[in-house]
Amino acid sequence: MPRHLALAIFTLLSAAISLHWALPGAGLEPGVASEIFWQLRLPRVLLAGFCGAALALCGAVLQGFFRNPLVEPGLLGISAGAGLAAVLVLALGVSSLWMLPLAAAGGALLALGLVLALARRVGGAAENLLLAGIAINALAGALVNLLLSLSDNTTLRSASFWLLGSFTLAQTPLLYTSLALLPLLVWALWRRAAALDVWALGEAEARHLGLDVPRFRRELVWLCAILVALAIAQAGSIGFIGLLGPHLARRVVGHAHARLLPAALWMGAALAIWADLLARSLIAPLELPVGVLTALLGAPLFLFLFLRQRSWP
Amino acid sequence: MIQVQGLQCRAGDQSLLKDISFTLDAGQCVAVVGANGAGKSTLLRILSGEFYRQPGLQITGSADYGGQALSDWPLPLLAQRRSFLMQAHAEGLPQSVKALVALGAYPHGGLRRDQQALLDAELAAWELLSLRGRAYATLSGGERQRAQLARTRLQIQLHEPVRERLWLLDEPLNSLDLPHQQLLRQQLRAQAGQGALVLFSVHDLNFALRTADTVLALRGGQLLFAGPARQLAEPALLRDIFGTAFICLFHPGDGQPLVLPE
Repeated sequence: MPRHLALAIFTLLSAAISLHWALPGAGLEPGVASEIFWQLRLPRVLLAGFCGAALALCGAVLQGFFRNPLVEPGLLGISAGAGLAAVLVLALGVSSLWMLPLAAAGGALLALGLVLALARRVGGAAENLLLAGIAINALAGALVNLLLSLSDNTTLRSASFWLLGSFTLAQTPLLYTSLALLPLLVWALWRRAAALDVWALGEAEARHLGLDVPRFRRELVWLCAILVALAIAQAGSIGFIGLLGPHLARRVVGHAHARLLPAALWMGAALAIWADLLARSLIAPLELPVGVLTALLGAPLFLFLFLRQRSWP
Repeated sequence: MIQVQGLQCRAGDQSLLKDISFTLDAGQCVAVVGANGAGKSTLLRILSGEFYRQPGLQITGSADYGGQALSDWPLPLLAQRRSFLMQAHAEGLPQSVKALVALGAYPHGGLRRDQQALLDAELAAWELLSLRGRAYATLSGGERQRAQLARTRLQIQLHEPVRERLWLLDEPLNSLDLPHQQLLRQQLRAQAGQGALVLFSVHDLNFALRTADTVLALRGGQLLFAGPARQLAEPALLRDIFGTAFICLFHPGDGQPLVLPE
């Protein structure tokens, strides 16, 4: 437990630093400064924390579910479906404040539904889900590129901003709804931690230990999809946190899911908060797309972990 | 405890088991023998309830466990009193040996604080105490086999009364060295001696003869023989089962029969 506590404190400290970093104050009227803090800065940091937590938690769950440390939430077709729906909305020019996140969430869940239906035709095993997800990902990615190549410059700019990920467009009602749902979804996933440990033994062994496999598979995938859809709908696709967060968390607390899932949650939130802080301060007053930054920093860090792993403890 | 009547299993147009009937009681130690592909694993996986949840298999006839059809048993309840050792195990599991063995308590809602001693006893029984902290992925084949044996035994060990327990093992001898084969033999007999029904498939006929009290012999999905283990040491029967000639010897120490392919 102390390790979880340390992780939680580290994440909250990161959030506090990010909240107050380069906050414009001097020379502004007091009301304006506090409005900037409450209306812009706080939602932004909360959104970063929420998305990081959601992506890393789902990454940990899905890596366990697919028994594959290379899996990240995007592989189930979720982010590609969200991206396609968002770009479609932007290209049609019907994007209002609510339209974009709603379409993205709808696209994410629709893509997952399609992946599940395809996989069920051949028995629904985890590997089949992954294969169907890869196919849907490729198809949605191609359609996004097709739409982008046919769009005008304005659409292209706003679409690429969204596809690269950003925490700037925090819609407070959706954000606070997501934050209210977070404990519920986290609890529902954490309750399945022991089942995920059993699942690691293999599908047949899980049955022999009394796990209702089809139900487990269905519930786990949908819970992850809802959480990831909420994140992607608000921030676009943020790469690498869903992969890196669980790996770092495993270094700290080990492999048992009851300990891993909360650790991945805190770790992902801290990663996203730091990525956001760097994205907005490295070349201030300009901003880097945060998705570019997570990949730019995440890929070398992942390689470093990969090269340092010892196969013989 | 187990009643099987006219059991058939088909996968597409392939017949895996044909019209099998037998009855087994609590306290029996049963070996299932037969050549490769004779249907040993299929029979065990039907008796575990697993194959009733497997898409693509048509299972007809009846197989009851504790007076209730196996197809009707809710898996979580079944898992509290029946465990199954698979023939092959997942590779590269990162958790410790102790954590792996403790998974046997999953159907019972995990180990309570006052049940930790049972876990330690299980580790000790399979000579795993010194390996308890090691990552499963780093173990040798025989060590992994013992860890999985411990996991499956802990699973039924937590169920009372003993006479309702069913321990199914698919080729439990895999990777075990000779001293640990002896250990396995003692553990199987001890569990049956306490009153559980123990059912294992095996290729080593002499292990079957010296461990089991009852034998089920399969050939091509059919049950050729079901009866006392000592009756298996019969060259004519063995030729029927395996299609090759056998000779029968007697152990110079205890006079028990031994068989060898000729």
